[in-house]
Amino acid sequence: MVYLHVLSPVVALAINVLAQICYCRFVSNKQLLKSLFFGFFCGMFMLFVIEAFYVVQLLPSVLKNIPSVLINIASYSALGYCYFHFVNLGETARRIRLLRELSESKNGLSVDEILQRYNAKEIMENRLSRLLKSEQVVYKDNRYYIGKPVMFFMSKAVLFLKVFILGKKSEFE
Amino acid sequence: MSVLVFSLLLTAVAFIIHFIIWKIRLPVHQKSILIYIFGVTLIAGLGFLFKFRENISLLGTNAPRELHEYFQICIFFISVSLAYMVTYSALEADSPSLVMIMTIANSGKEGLSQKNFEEKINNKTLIIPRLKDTLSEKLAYLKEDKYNLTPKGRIISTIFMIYRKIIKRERKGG
Repeated sequence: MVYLHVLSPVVALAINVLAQICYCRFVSNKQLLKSLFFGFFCGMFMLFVIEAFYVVQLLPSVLKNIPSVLINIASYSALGYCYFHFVNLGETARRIRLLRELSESKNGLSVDEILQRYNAKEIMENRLSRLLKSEQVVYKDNRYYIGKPVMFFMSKAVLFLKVFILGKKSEFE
Repeated sequence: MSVLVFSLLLTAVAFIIHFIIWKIRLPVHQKSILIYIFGVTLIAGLGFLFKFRENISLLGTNAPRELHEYFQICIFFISVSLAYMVTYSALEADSPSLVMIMTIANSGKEGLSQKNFEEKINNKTLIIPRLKDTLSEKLAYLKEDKYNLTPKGRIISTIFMIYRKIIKRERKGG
């Protein structure tokens, strides 16, 4: 039982991945974010079940084992975040899209050929439509404005981290 | 309690080493150095803890004694390190959404026109740097001015293509 307790974050991650894939295949493949939340909560549920069995087994010393359970919750959350990032990479990363375009060509692609298939215009359209749909950006009188401030605050947080860790605001500095 | 205390300690040590090195000088191969720092901290830290487990105590907590406790510290450390590394990759490159939001925000009450948008965000800022990354990270190589995938690039693109097929995502993404 103790090794199942130690491995519970990994088991929970496996359940997370399986549940997320099942959601996409059998419920809807258009609600990616919902599927990720669904998967994450299924994994968390499995983690709590394993931890509950573990804690019940050690009833006389429940409090002593709480820190160990907390560590597993933190480990699973970190693994779940990594999986979220992996899915997000396939969805939005430019590098992955470029690799995909290259893998679909037999003799390689020149810069011009790449730009015909994938370019800044497409990237902007994809992102703008997402930002407009979620009302993070509003379009009024032929001009764009900040709408709901969530993405704006997130962008500021990312900029703060960039300056704190990398010492610069942009990759072009 | 010992697992919690020593997991956090080991993770904190790795982050402190990382920040000190980064403040002295930003490494050229940042991700490789990060992997090295976290890897060495984990192995050396666990080795040190295990060897001197009888004598080490922190905040009134003795060092872990059982093998499964070390295994649990290992899983925590690797999970947190991986989560940090994926976040770090996202920090290294400018995200288009972030650039777009900040460009609009910087235009203030005037708002931003489509033309201004296209002047500031174009292939030169969004595509060309990522293409160069594929070369520097050995995901692609140039042959007669054409980009071709290396085996490493092909493996990565295949993983994502298979995964997207499994979850039935037909759109190419990006």
